[in-house]
Amino acid sequence: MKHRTWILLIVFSLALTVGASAWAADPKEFRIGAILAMTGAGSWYGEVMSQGILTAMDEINGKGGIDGIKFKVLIEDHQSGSGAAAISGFNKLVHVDKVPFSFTSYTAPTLSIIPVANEKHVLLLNGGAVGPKLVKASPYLFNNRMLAMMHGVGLIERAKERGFTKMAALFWNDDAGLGTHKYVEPRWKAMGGTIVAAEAHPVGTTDYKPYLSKIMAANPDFLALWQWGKDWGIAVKQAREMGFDKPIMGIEFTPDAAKLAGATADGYEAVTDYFESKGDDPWTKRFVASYKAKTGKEPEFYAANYYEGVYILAELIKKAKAKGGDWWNGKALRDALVTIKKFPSVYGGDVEFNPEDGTCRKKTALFVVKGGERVFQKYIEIK
Amino acid sequence: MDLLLQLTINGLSMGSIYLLLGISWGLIFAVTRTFHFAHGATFVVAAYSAYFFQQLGFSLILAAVGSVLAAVLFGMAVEGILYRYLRKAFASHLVVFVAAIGTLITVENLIAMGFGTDVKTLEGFPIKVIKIGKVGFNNLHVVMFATAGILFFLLMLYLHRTKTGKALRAVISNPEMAEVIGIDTRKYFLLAFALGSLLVAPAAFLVTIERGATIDLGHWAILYAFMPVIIGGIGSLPGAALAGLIIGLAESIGIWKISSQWQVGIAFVVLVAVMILKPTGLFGFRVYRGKI
Repeated sequence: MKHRTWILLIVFSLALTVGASAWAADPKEFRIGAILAMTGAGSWYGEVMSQGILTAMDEINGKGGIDGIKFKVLIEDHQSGSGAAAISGFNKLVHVDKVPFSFTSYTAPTLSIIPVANEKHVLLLNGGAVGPKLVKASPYLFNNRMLAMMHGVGLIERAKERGFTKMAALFWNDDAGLGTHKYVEPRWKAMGGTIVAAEAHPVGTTDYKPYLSKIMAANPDFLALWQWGKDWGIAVKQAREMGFDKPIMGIEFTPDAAKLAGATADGYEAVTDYFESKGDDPWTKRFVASYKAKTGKEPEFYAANYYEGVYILAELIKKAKAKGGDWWNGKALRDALVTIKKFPSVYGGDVEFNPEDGTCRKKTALFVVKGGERVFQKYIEIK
Repeated sequence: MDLLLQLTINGLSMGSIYLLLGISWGLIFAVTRTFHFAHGATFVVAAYSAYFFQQLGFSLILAAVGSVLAAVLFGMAVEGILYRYLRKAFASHLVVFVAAIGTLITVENLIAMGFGTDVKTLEGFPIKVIKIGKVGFNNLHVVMFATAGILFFLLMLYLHRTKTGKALRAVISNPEMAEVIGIDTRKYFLLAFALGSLLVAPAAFLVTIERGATIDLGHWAILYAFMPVIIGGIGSLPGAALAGLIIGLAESIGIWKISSQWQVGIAFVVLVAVMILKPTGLFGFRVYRGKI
């Protein structure tokens, strides 16, 4: 009887050990997802974001991965903002590929996939979308870029500094644009400003003349743009070519839109994330060199955000694994993020997350466009 | 009052582009009865050809000529290779329509593979801002209006004063009878595609100068190509031309007293209103057959 008890105990212990080791077994690869704009009007974003991810993965995988385990990213296309396409792609990532982590971009697709992410405990990291509804949207959503409303606040502070009082606003008629305007409007009025024209337009508009006509008729001190993609470039170009000679300020700068605007973009001021590809930070230099070698192009902040995101994930994996137990899942990765909070940023300095609302704080700056290039003016601290 | 004048000028410049889209697609449809959805692809081919030729070092004028040639060749190739084959195989209108959509999507994706997805711009047009009081526009808008007017005038002159033009009108009026009197309709189908593609190329070129070319422009172009034809009346090129201007003006002036965000819907409101009140269109006398 005594022997039998011992044997049972040993067998039970062995079963537990084997079971536990199987339960916490290392994955063969770190398979993660990315829901990006690979086609459609915003495919430029998808291209640079995916290249940012792949550049970081090449670097990490080239050094043998994390404890010998390499990264693999599965990219799904939300067709430049389609919630339905995002859900379809995300369902595949979660249910077929079983990813515990996914990058995301664009506000509407990100909001669309949140219910599934919550249910299946998939950690989401957004380095591109800027809509105000992303704040506190999910305990599993974190943003490693400053959101548009924060940039908007930075912009009106700059406008006040320049002595403007009459604002005209031209913005996307979606959560990002309209949400930013609604967030900024009371703050601008509280600062003593007025809004003489507020024009919402569909994302991807190519003819701004009707909107600009109303704005010009309202005679503002300056024009604020809550737009992204190539829209701001087209709007600036058409405004100048219609004879609008007041200052134009925005919260976005992308090389493709600047190229489109050409010389008309000169003098355009933008308050946005600060990534200086010619910066002195050693990590920045290494990233720029890797990205250039891979793509032949200079990286900008969108590529930087997603590149940085892979390294943030690497830190989460190390932390979660060190804690032990079942660590390759979204919940463990989220717990690791909430614990660490502050990570090195490829911008230089740190990116610090707020676990309460999923937002982050990182370098933001004021730029002015000169000769088609953005020229750094100063850092802006946004409260 | 300044605002109304500004909106009118804007509407005329955009309406000029819709005019070119409308008469180019309308001519092809009137002659061949083919719902040429791939006309959007011709538009994109024209825009990117201009960019391509400029990148090779050609001047803006030569790039425009290259753009027209590329569009004409592409349009003729779609008719000569695809549509003619489908007609021989007695394909239904639906099959032809689906094939045309497929052509548009394929061309857009091939261009994206070849040129990338970023915006392509044309350099070298000397923009001069014209300000009359508070009203502002530029010389490109004047060129748009003038180009549309001149091309429409030349097209009508061609159709009414030349032998081939009259033959085209005969095919439009009654293709069976045209064949009976010895007109080779296949040849005139090809000619219609060549002319239609020739007319859409300047629109593509001017739009690319104003706002740059992207691969998704084809979908926009085809939408504004068939709306003037339906509003103006199928088979009536003056109707399509007038409807193009009406859509441009309605979209622009329509936001005078309402929010600008409803602008996109205005063209569809006009379309639906015309279809309800006059299903044959403003100048159409029959739904399926027309004359110019």
